[in-house]
Amino acid sequence: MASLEPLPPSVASRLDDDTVLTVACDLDLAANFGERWLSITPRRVTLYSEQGQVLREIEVAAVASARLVTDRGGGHLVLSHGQDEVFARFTAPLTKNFAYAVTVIEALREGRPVPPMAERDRAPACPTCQRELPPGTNVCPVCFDRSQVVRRLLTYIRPYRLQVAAALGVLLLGTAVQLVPPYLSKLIVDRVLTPRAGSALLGLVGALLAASVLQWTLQAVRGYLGVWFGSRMMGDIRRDTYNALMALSLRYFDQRQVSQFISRVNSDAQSMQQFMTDGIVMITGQTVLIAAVLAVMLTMDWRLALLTFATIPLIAVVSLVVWPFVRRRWYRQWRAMMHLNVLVGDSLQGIRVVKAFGQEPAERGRYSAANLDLIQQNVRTDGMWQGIFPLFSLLTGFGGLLVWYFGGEQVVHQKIPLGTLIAFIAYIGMLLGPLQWFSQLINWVTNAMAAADRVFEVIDAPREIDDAATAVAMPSIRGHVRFEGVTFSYESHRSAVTEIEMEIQAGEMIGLVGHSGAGKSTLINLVCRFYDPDQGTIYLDGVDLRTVRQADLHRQVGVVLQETFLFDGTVAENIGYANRQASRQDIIRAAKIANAHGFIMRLQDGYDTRVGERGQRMSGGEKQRIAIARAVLHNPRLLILDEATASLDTETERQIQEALARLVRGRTTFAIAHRLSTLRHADRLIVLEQGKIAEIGTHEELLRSRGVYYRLVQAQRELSRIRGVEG
Amino acid sequence: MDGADIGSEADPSLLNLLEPSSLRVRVGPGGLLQAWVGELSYRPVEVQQAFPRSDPGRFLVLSHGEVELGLIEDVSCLDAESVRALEYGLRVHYLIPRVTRIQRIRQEPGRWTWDVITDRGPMQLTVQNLHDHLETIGSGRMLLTTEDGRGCEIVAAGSLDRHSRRQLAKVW
Repeated sequence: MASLEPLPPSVASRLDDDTVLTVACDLDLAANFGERWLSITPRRVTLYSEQGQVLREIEVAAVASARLVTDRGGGHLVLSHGQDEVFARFTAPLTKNFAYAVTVIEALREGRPVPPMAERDRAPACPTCQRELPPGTNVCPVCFDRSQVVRRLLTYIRPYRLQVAAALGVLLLGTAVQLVPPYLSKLIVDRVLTPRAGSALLGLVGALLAASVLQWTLQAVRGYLGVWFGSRMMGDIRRDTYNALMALSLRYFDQRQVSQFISRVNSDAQSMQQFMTDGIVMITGQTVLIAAVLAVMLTMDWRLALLTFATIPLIAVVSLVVWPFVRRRWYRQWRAMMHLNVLVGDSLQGIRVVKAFGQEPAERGRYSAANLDLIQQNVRTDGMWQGIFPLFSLLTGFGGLLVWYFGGEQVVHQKIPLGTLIAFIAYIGMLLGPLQWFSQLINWVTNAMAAADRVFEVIDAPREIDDAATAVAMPSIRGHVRFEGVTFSYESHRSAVTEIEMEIQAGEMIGLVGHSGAGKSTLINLVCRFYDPDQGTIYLDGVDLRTVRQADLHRQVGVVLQETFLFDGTVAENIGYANRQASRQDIIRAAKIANAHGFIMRLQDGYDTRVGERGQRMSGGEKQRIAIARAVLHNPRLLILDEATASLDTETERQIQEALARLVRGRTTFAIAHRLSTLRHADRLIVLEQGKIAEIGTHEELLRSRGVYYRLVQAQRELSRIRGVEG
Repeated sequence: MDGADIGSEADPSLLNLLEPSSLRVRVGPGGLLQAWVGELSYRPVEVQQAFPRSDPGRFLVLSHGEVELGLIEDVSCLDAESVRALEYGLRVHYLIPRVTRIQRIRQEPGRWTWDVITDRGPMQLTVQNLHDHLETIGSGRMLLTTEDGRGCEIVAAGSLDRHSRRQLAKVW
C-alpha cells in the first residue's frame, strides 16, 4: 500500500489489506480545516474522518470519471457516477497528491496497472532528517542552525585568511601601542609634574610622539588591508548572488518583483561586507583592547577597576532587549526602501506609457506616498537609534563618574598618587569607547544578518529547472518532439495547458493557432524548458526533456519573439549574442539572411551602432531583423517564432517573412502568428482552445473540416474586409 | 471620454447582467452548485468574484464549464436561498480563511511563522520573508500567501484584538 503521509491508527485499522493508496486531506467538505483521509482500493474509494468514520464511499466500478478541480488556494476531487459529487477538498500543497489519486482511480476504473507516483511529484525532503522541505527553499527549518548564517558569512573570509590574519596582527599591535600613552601620562604626572623635576620630560614626550606615529601607521596599514579584502569579499558575495539569480527558474521571478533583486545584489552585499571587514576586525580588536585595559586597570587599582565595570551587566541586558526590536525596525525600513526602488524601476521602464497616457501626476502621487512611508520608517528607525546611542553612552559614562568620585577622594586622602587617577581616567576613556561602540555593533550585526538572510534566501532557492546529476548530453539534436499528457499551470488554481498530446517530426514546421490565452506561448515556454510540466512528459528525440543537459538544449534552441529584447551594446554584439565566437563575416552573413544588412549599413556606425538600452534607438522592424540574425547565427535545431511578424508594416513584414522562410528551412519550427495567413505554409497547424488541442492538420485540411480554425480564418477575413472598407 | 460616457454608449448586453428575478441558485446533492436562469437549468455551475480583493461582495461571475452564464451585480437582490448558495460557492472556491486572531508571529533566520485562528479553524503558515509574501490592500487589509499557494486574509487589522494587533505591530 502507498500512503503519502503517516496514517493515524484510527484510520489505519479500518483499511482493507488491498488498499492501493491513502491520501490526507486538510479540509472538510464545507472547506473548514479538518483532517480527512481518502483511501483507494481496487473496489472502492472511501473518505474517512480523523476518527476512522466513513464519510463517503463509492464503488470504483460506479465511477464514470474522476477529476480534479482547482480552486483559489486549493482544490477539490470530483467523482462522477451519474451525477458529479465533491468527494474531498484540500489546500494547494496537496494538489500533487490528489492529481496522483485521480491517476490511480482512473487506472483502477479502466483496469490498467497503477503507475507509481513520479519522483518529481513528491515534496523534496531534507537530506539530513528526511522531513519535507518547506516550499521555495532548500533549507530545512529543523536542521537549520542559527549560527550557520554567521559561519556561512565567514566562509567568504577563507580565501583572504592571510590578509585578514595580517590585519588582526596589526590590530593587536595597535592595541598594545594604544595602552602606552596613558601610562606615559602617569609617569609625566608622578615623576615630572608632582616632584617638579623636568629632566625626564623630553624623553617622555618624545615617547608619546613615537607612540602616536606608530599608532597612526598601524591604523593606516590595517585600514588598507580592510579595504583590500573587504572589496574582494563583497565582489564574491555579489558574484554568488548574481549567479544564483541567473540559475533560478522563470517561475521564481514570476512570483516576485524583479527590481528588488538589484538592491539585493548590491546593497545587501555591502551590508554583509561591512560586518565582515569592519565588524569582525573591530569586534576582535575591541575585545582585545577591553581585556588589555582591564588587566592594566586591575593591576593598578582593582577597586577602582570594579567601579568602572559596574554598569556593564546593565548594558548587556539592555542590548538583549533592544536587539529584536532593532532588527524588525531595520527590516521595515528596508521594505519601504525596496518598495520605492520597485516603483521607480516600474515607472521608468514604462515611461513611454506613462507619458502617452499623461499619467505623470498619478506616478508622482504613488512615489510621494511611498517616499513618505520611507521617511516615516527612517525617522522611526534612525530616531530610535538616536535615543539608544546616548542611553548606552550614559550607562557607560556612569562608571567613569564613580571613578572620578571615589578615585578623587583617595587622591585627596593621599591613598593613591594623582598620576594613577589620571592614567585611570585615560584608560576609562579607552574602555568606554569600545563599550559605547557596542551599540554600533548591534546596528552592523543586525543589518548584516538581515542582508545575509535575504541573500542566502536567493542562493538557497531551489533551482526548479535544474540539471539532474545524470543529465543526458545531447550535443546534436535532431528535433523530434513529443508531448505526452502534458499539463501545466502558472498559478495553482488555473491550468494554462491541459493533457497535451502531440508529436512533431524533426524538421517539421508547426503553426500554433488559437485565441489569446489559448496556451500557445505556454507550449513554447515548455519546449524551451523555461518551465517543467506539472504532469506528463515532453520528449526530445525520445529523451525526457527534464533529463536533457540544459546547456545542450539551449545551445540548439533559437527564439524570435514579438517583443524583441536587445541588450545595450552594438548591433554586432546583439547579433553575436548567442555565438560569441562568430566572425565578422558570420555576423554580416546572418544579417543578410535576416534582411537586416541594408538598414544596418544605413546606420551611421554600421554594425558598431549602439542600439540603446533595450534597443530603444531601433524601430520594431529593425529590432526584429536583428533578432532573426541573432537566431540565424545561433543556428538552432529547434526554432521558436512567437508573433515574430506582428505589428509591422507590409513591406517590413514581407522582408521578415522572407528572412524567416530562409531561417526555418531544415529546422523543427514552432511558429505562433496572430495573422493566420502567415502560417498557411506550415507543415501542420495545431489549433488550441482553452489550453487543449482542438484540431491538428494542414491549412487546407482544417479549412475543409470547417471547425475552430475555419471560424478563426473567417473572422479574420471579415475583419480584413471591414478594415479594407474603412480604409 | 470618461467612464460614464463608456457606460452610456456601450452595449449594456456586453456585461451580460443576470436579472435577479429570473435567477435561482442552489447547492445540489453532490455539493456542487446548480442554477436556473429563466427557464434553463445548469449543473454544475461555478461562482467567482470579479474583484475578489477590492469589491468581493459584488460582480459575481456565474459560469457553467467554459460558458459564462452572466454577471450578478448585487447578490442581495436575489432570494435568500440563492444568496446562501452563492456564499457557499464562494467559500469553497476561495480557500482563503479570514484571520480572527493572531496567536503568534515568530521570526527565525530565513522564515516567519504565523500561528493564526481563522474562520475555518487554526492555521500555521510559514513564509520566507514578508516583502514577497505579505501584501497590503488599502489600509488595514492584508493577504499572506505562502510559496505553495496557501494563504489567509486579515480583513481589517484595526479590528483585531489587542494581542493580535501587538503581534502585527512587530511586522507592519
